Formats: sequence, C-alpha cells, structure tokens
Amino acid sequence: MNSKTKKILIISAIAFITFFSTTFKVDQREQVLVLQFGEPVRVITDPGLSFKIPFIQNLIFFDNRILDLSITDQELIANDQKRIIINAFTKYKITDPLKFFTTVRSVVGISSKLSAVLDSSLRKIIGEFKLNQLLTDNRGDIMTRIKDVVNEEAKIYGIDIVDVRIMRSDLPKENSNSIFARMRAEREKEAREIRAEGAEESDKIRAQADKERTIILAEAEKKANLTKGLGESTANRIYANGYNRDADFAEFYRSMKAYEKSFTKENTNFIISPDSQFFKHFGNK
Amino acid sequence: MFKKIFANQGGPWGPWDNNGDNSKKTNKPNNKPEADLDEILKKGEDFVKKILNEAFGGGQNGNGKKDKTTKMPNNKNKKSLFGIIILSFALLWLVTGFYKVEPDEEAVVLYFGEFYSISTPGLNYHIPYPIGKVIKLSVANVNTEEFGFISSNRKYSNRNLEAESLMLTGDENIVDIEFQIQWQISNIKNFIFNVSNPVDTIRKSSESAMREIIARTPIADALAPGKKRIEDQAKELLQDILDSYDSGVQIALVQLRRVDPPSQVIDSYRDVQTARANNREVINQAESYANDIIPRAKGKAFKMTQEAEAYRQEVIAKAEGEIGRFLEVYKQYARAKRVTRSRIYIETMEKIYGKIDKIIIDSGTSKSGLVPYLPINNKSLNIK
Repeated sequence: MNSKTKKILIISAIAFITFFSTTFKVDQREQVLVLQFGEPVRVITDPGLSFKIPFIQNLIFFDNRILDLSITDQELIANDQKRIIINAFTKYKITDPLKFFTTVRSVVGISSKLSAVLDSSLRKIIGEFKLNQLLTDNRGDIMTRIKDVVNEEAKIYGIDIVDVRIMRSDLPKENSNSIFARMRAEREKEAREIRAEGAEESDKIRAQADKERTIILAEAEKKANLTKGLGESTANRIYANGYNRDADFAEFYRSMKAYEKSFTKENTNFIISPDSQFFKHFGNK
Repeated sequence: MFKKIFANQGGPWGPWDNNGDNSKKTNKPNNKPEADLDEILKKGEDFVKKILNEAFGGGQNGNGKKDKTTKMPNNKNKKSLFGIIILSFALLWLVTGFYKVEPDEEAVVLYFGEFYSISTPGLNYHIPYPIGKVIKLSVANVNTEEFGFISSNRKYSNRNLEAESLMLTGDENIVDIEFQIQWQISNIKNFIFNVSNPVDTIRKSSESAMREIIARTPIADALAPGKKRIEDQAKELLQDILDSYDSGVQIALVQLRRVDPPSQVIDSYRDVQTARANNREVINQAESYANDIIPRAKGKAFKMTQEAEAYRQEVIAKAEGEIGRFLEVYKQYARAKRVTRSRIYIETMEKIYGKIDKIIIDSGTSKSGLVPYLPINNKSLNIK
C-alpha cells in the first residue's frame, strides 16, 4: 500500500510539473512568439491555453493591443518657409511578432525606429503644404497622408499603423510674438473703427435731430404766418366791407379816431392857424 | 502536499477541459460559468473520488484480502480522513470563485487568459485562480479630463498648462482655451482588450481633436458665437477617433470652459470691448439729445401756431368790433349827415385841444413876413 501510494504521488507530481512546464496562458491582450534554442518557431495569437516543449522552447510575449508612440515638439518648415512646431502621436499594433522580434526585438526598440520614421514622414509631408493649409479642413487629409507614409515605412518592423495624429501645431516663440503684435494692432484698429463709427452714428443722430428741429420750427413759423395773414386778410375784408358803405365818411371817421388817439399827450405844443374849420366861428364876429 | 494540490486542481481541470471543448464549439456565447457549475462540481467530485479510490481503495483491494480483518477498519478511517481533507480544500478553493460586481460596475471573466464573458452587477461565480481571472471596472462612473487648467481637487504635476491651452486658430491667431471632456466606458471588453493605456489615449486624442477643430475656426468665431459648434464638432471628431481604435469609450461631454485671447493681447481685446461700450454711450447721448430737442421744438412750434391762431382771431374780432362800431355810428350819420359830421369833428377837436398847449397864429401876421419868435417849450407863455 505504501509503495503504491508513493508511486501515485510521484506520478502525480511528475504529471503536475510536466503540465505546468508544458502549458502556458496567452492573455487576450497578448501574443506570443515561441523560440526554440533562440530560433523562432511559432507565433500564437489566439488567447487561451497553449503548449510548448519545456526547457527547449521559451516564450516572448508581445502586446496585442493598440500601442502608443508620441514624438515631442519638432520644429518643421512648411512649404511657404514658415516654421512650425508640431508634436504628434501614432497608434500602432504589432501584427507580425516574428518580424517585430527579428527587426526591433521589443517595444523599446520600435520606439526609436518608429520615432525616426514618424519624424521624417512629418518633415516630408508638412514640407509639401503651406502653413495655412494645415489650418483648414486639409489637416485631416495631411494626417492621413502621413499615416500612409509611416505605415509603408513601418511595415518592415511587423507593425500596422492604426493612426497618426498631429496634436499641437504651434508657431515658434518669436513668431508667436509677432502674431501677438499683429493681433494687438488688429484689435487697436478695430477699437478705433468702433469708436469712429460711434462718433459717426452720434453725429448723424444729432444732425438729424437738429434738422428736424429746424424744420419743425420753420414749418410752425410758416403756418403761424399763414394763419396771421389769414386773420389779417379777413380783418381787411371786414373793414373794407364796413367802410365801403360810405367811403367818404369812413375816411373822416377814421381820421377823427386817429387824431383823438394820436394827440393824447399833454404839453404838446400846437401852432394852429385860425383859418381851420374849427375856428370858423372864432374870429369872425 | 503535492497530492493535495494535484487533487484540488486536477478535479476541475479535467471536467472543465472536457466541457470547455464542447461549450466552445456549441454554445459558448450563452454559456455562463454558473450554468456549468453543478456539472463541474459533480464531475470534480467524481474525479476526486476516483483518485481517492485508486489511491486507497485500490491498495486495499490488492492487500486487503490478506489482512482483511485486522487492517480494514484502520485503513477505512485513514482513507476517509484523507478524503475529507482533500474534499474540503477543493470546496474551499471553489468557494473563492464567488465575486461581487457593484451596481456601477461590470466585469470581464478570462479563462486561461482568454475572454470568456461579461458579468453584470450582483453576485457572480467564476472558476478561481489560476484558471480564471476577473477584471472589474466601473462603467457608470463618468470620468473627467481637464485641459489647460487644473481644478483644485486634482493634482497633475508635470503638465505645461500654457502649451496645453494656447492654440493656433484658422486665421493664424492664437487663442487661450480651457476645456474638459467627460467619458464613460461603453464597452468594457473593448476598453480592456483593445487599447493599451486608454486614459492617455483619450487625453491625447482629445487634445488632437480640439486643436484640429480650432485650427479650422477663425478666432472671432472661437471667442464668441461658435462655442457650441466647436464643442459639437470636437465631440464628434473625438468620438470618431476613439471609435476607430475600438476603444470602448463613449464621450459624454466636450465643454469649452474658457476661451480667451492670450494674456499678451487681452488688453487690446478689452479695449475693443470698451470701445463698443463707448460707442453705445456716445450713441445714447446723441439719442438723448435728439429726444430732448425734438419735443421741445414741437412744443415751440405748437406754441407759435397757437399764437398765430390767437392773433388771427384777435385781428378778426377787432375788425368786427371796429366795423360794428362804425356801422352803428354810420347808421346815425346816415340820418343827418351834415350835422353829425360837424358834431363829430368838433367833439374830436374839443377833446384834442382841451388837453394840449396851443399857439394860434393869424394868417395875416404870417403874410407880413414876420416870423414870430416862439419859445415853444416855455410853459409860462400863454398867448391868446
């Protein structure tokens, strides 16, 4: 009994060790390159349980997800000789672990290679466009072109470029300063224009008001004069109608009224000839 | 010790492998670990029993015939004790497969590293380590990423805020922008398996998207009326980018928190605002001037016309009055013309001469050529 139990224990142990040394897990996020004496023999991209020959084969794990690589600020020259500072990132995926391993070995290796490719592609493509084209809807197309170029050049590393995107695209500091100066000048111009427009508008309103006032007053004066004239003409008509009954008497009567009104003041010296009608009876007798 | 572990782990492995093959091919999508649980447990138990039988029962069978009477009870005790220990360890191990998913979470289950299922909130079961693995993440949680600013409750150390917030606009101006985005996990499987470092990817994509949109927008639009449009476009573009990576991320919000001219030129922009205010002020003053003088002019005009009207009526009334008087007098005059005329004349003269100083010079005197000296203003001189 004892020996049998031992036997089973030993067999179990050996089976256990064998199992663990021959099987391995491939994570959903990984892919594996199997090396035999350092020689790549197999690529496993399906996740799950896999087998290997222990001690002879060893494993190199690669990421199966979309990976990121960023490049820091680069000063590039656009087609119109304007300088521009760009940084960008690319998203890539290891599609051929074997190629990847033989060319760059690891993610560290690809970083320097891919940075160089990305940098040169950026220079090349950006150099074909003018700065202001980068600042339009063309930006998307430019990025697509860069992606295609990078993808072509990066194929030899066993990777697939999923995306290349420009993040920042800024002007160098000295250019920024001139932009600021221009922006200031533009705003100053705008402010002046606005103020001038205000003055213009204000003057217009005032002039309009003055004009209206003058017209209103003139119209009123005209109307007043017409009214007065109307009154006077009516009065004249009334006088004429009245006095026409007897023009001679009217003249006499009106004269008498006028005399009476005129010579009201005392101390008026009068030199009178006694020949006047008033003295008809004065010296005669 | 080895045996125990082997028994423990061998138990579920065998059945799982068998089941695994079947379920993988036939009904994997619907297959939940819970569904298999009974079967697995049962098979595991059978397997353990079989091993135990082989280990102890078999031995007994071989040797038992000889020492049946003496050793049998002893062996039986040993066997059952050993079995119980192993079984309880197996059970203990299986119990560690229970896990709880919080209401805001979802979890993915991996078996041997391969994606198996997504589990929903509540109590769930998976075959424990080292076979299974559970990754839990909050999917209801809305995450915020800030650009160009840091709200007080966050600590990012090495971000260059100015570089982050200054952007080149479509008309080659520079604008100072602060914005934030909010995102959620929309597909936990894609989120975990498709993109490495998803948060960093979201940040970079956000910045790229916002800068692309700003690069198409003239500064005037960005500063005032185009905000909503920029937010919408950036959100759409960002979602497109993240979808192209199958990132399993949903952008809930892109919000421009602040859009200003850069600090270097902000004074000029403020001056434009001031100019606008001045403009309005000057116009208001002019309008108030107009509003002041026109009613006054109208009032004056009204006054003038009223006065004229008054004059008209006055003149007419006066004429009518005078003529009325004249006609009355005339009526009398017509009856006795000569007498009335004389009377009027004499009465008038009487009134006039009654009041005034008079000098009467005979016409005869004047004929003689003598011009008398007349101290006209001398009141004492009263010559008759």
